[in-house]
Amino acid sequence: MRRLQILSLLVHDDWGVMQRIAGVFTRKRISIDTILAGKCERPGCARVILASEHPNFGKMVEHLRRVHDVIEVEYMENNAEAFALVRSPVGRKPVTGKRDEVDAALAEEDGVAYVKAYGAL
Amino acid sequence: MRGARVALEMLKEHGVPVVFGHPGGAVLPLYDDLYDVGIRHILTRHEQNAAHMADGYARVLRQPGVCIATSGPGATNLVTGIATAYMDSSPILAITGQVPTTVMGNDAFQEVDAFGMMMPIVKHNWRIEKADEIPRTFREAFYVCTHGRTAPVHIDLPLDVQREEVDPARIAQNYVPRKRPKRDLSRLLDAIKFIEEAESPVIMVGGGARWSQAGSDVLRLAEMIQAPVVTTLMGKGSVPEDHPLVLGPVGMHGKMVATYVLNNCDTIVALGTRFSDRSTGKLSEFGKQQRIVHVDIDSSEVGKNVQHVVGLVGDVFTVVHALIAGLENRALRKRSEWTDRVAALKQECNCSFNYSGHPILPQKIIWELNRLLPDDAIVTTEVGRHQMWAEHFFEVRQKRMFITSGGLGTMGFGFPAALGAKVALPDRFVMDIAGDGSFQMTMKELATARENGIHVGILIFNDGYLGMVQQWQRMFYGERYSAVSLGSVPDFTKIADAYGLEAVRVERESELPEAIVRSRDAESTFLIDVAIDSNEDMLPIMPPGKSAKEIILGPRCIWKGGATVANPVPARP
Repeated sequence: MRRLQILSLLVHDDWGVMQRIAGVFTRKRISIDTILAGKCERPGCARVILASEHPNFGKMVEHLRRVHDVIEVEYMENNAEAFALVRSPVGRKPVTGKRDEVDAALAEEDGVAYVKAYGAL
Repeated sequence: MRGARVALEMLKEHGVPVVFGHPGGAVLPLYDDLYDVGIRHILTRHEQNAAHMADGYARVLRQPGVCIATSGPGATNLVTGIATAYMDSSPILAITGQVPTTVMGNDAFQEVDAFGMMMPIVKHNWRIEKADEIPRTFREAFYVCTHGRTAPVHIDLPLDVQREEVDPARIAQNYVPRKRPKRDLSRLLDAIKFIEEAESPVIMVGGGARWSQAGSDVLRLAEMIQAPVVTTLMGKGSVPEDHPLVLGPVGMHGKMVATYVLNNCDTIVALGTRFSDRSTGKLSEFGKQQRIVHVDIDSSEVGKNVQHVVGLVGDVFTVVHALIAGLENRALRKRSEWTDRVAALKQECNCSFNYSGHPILPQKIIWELNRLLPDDAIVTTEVGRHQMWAEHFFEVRQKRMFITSGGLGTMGFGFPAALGAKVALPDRFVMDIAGDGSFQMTMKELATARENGIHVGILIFNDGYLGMVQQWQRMFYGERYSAVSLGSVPDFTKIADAYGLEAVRVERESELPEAIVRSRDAESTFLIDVAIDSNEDMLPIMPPGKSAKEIILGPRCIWKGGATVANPVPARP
């Protein structure tokens, strides 16, 4: 089974943030498989979701925290093939699991905003 | 007030008395306002050297140095200087002009994406799009470059933003930092346990100790736990080298006793070092039998090069004090066996390098400098063999400082950095130890030295070769010399003369002391061109990619050493 590693970043929505983040991985010779980015619930901030299968992907947390524009980094280690981040009334909630399970969970949370990544993207 | 003026007022607000720079089309408003604000400007002959001077200034004062360049070529020329500062964690603020926002992205005249170009070599950079952003951005820039791990920052300032008026309310607005450096001392008890249990501990000091000015605190810890202190290239000078526990530099060209002790201890307390390959040798061989406590201000350095360490994140000063406080009331074991052994080994490495020969041997020059330079001299070096001779043999005692380009190894760094250091501390004697190859890279700054009355000493190790490369070709490429001969041109005394400066050529060692004393007492920049033996290798050397087991000793080395270096490769006769 493919092992999907996920980093969720809260960043300042500013010029060149993606370039800075991508630069960290370029220097460490890690290829990012999936990138999702967009404005988020905090004004002036954006959320970036990165996924990769590279074994050192999880070690990049501290290197990303060094980037001045990055406010927080969360690492989600799992063997799931899909991941979704749901904005529910009570706050953000990550959902991981098999592809169908994640889809089902999203269907339950009817009408909320979410981002979703599959390992096979 | 227009943007350019506000930017300069921000510099004044942060106590910047001097900026280094080179004007151009995109920074004209800034230079126009420089007239009125009363900040001293030092005109360099190349932007790279403006960055090096700001770097030298910052390393001496431990405050940000400021350099200014124009857009396009000005910004690209700054890159080498900023990268040098980045690798050695030196706080400099680089300001570049930029084409007006109206034409940005259209390949306008002298346009380059300075913002994108600087990103990998600065801690953070900003491109200011509105003049109202200037006060906050400058305050943030100063905060970022001096808090946490010090590092260069860069501000890209478009021409129309410099001309635009700034809302006075924005200038009065307080700056609230949006990100504060974090400390993590959660593993302090583990670290204390490791130190307590150690039979033979060693303290390895890097540049971090110098940036947090923790030299005396490190020595207190060393005396407390009876651990010898070894320094990396960047850490040299953070602890006075005449202290009995300080063994001197470690690494590729380190002292044998330091390398031996580092590889034969059981616990390494690494303070503010990033375990560069030049300090440790082959990383897979390093620290295999040791327990390592790694103290660094930057959390991403812990576990980066050497894994399985007890990491403490914080500045050296704070963490060392935490360690001292934790160890203070405990019954620390006597480590007299270890300290006696180290003291005996130190004696074995304590050679007199007052070698005489014709042509002059480089060790002799350093020996004379040790003797004749004042106890508060600041020594800068370029990059090459002379740098390693200086690292290995120069004694940084009392208030002496040693400034060198360690991480990036930028040839030509030393001379502009010496000028920056002299600007920072005009009462101290500053000497640039240079090689003939390195010095030729930035010798145009002789004009800056002359015009601004900045008096430094320059001592050139002149062997007519790119010595370090020549040595490597001799040792590792079967004496196939390729593009390393510089010949006998130029005549450096005539170069100095052309710039209206004094110089002397030294070919006999009897003339050396007088020349050094003359440069020390000179009222202007004074250049000493010393002809040295190009066949003298910088030894010992830990060959690149090899471990401490494969160190090659020099022919005059008196070290008889221990197990790690039981079979040192004999040097070329």
